[in-house]
Amino acid sequence: MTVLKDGTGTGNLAKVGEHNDLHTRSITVSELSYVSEQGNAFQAEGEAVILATASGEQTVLILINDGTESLEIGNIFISVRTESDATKITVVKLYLGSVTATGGTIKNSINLNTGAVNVADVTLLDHNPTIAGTDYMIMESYFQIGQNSLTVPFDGGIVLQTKGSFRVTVKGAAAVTAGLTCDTSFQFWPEIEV
Amino acid sequence: MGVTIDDGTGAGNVAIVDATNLLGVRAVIETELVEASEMGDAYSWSNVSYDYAAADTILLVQNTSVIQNMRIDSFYIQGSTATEIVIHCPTVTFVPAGTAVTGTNMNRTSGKAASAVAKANETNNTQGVVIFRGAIAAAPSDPYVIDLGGTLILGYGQSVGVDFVSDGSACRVTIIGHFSRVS
Repeated sequence: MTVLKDGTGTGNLAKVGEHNDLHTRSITVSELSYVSEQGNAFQAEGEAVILATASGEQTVLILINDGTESLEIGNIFISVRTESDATKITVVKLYLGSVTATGGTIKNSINLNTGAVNVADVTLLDHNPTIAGTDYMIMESYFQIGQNSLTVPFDGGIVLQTKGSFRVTVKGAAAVTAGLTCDTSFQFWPEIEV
Repeated sequence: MGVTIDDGTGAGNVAIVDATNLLGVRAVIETELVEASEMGDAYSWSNVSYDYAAADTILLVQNTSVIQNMRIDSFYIQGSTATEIVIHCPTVTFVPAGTAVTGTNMNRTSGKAASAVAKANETNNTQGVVIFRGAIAAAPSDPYVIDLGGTLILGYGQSVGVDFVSDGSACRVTIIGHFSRVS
């Protein structure tokens, strides 16, 4: 007979219920929260500006995994804003693949544990870098300018292999009358074995 | 040969391992935030709305605990005017200035006070690393919620602020966070 006994000296014994289930109490720690404790959770943040005369699709932010470990993508936040026209609609798309990127503006990822010194082994570019290769759209959404940011909670459901890419794009409405700015940010972390 | 787990209350029940080799449990689960609240270590900081200027730091919270990290769980953000919002962590040490905001302990049975300084209309910080750059609509019916789930971790002296870029007449920001032992 084996009974689980409290190790702190209270004498408490664990219960097994009538359905033969061991009664437990657990604290739920998200994978992202756990890896942040280890100093391995990062935030990527970038923007793209669509000028009044442009209507083509632009890359707001691209992440390429330069490391040897797979990366998981967490919550994605997207907003499109303008000062003069809050009625226009834009199209936001998310892509996965193994593309390469040049140009744009180099961004640094931010360690979400502000006391940690670890640096992510990734390439991050915003301001519409030039993309080479093929990637695959995983989400397309209309977005009305000037509304609350859009949150897409992937919660680690996207996994990027080495040299895998993840990018966010925006396309302005044809009749854009002023410059649009699209901001996006998302969390990422190395995949862990649990 | 494995062991059988018996009920400790004397009912005679034994724990099951099913056909897929899973141990049957009945788990009471709670989040880190709930656990921290039970310990009296979860807090809410909210500003009182005011007529704000462009680029104001509407609310900033700084961790002043030398033994515990502050973990930021969520932001609730609302304003009178459509604006870009910037959530950032200043990287230069500073003393916050502005309208004092007292953290409310989420566990009303606890008498603990937060080891933190919080200021509305904070005027002494310089934007450091930007954690989030987004937007809110003008006077939305619901606040914009950013759920970080305790992922943003602030050590001693470190802080997080919420800035509104465009001018407006009313602003409401709430930051929920909890303290955890430095691991």
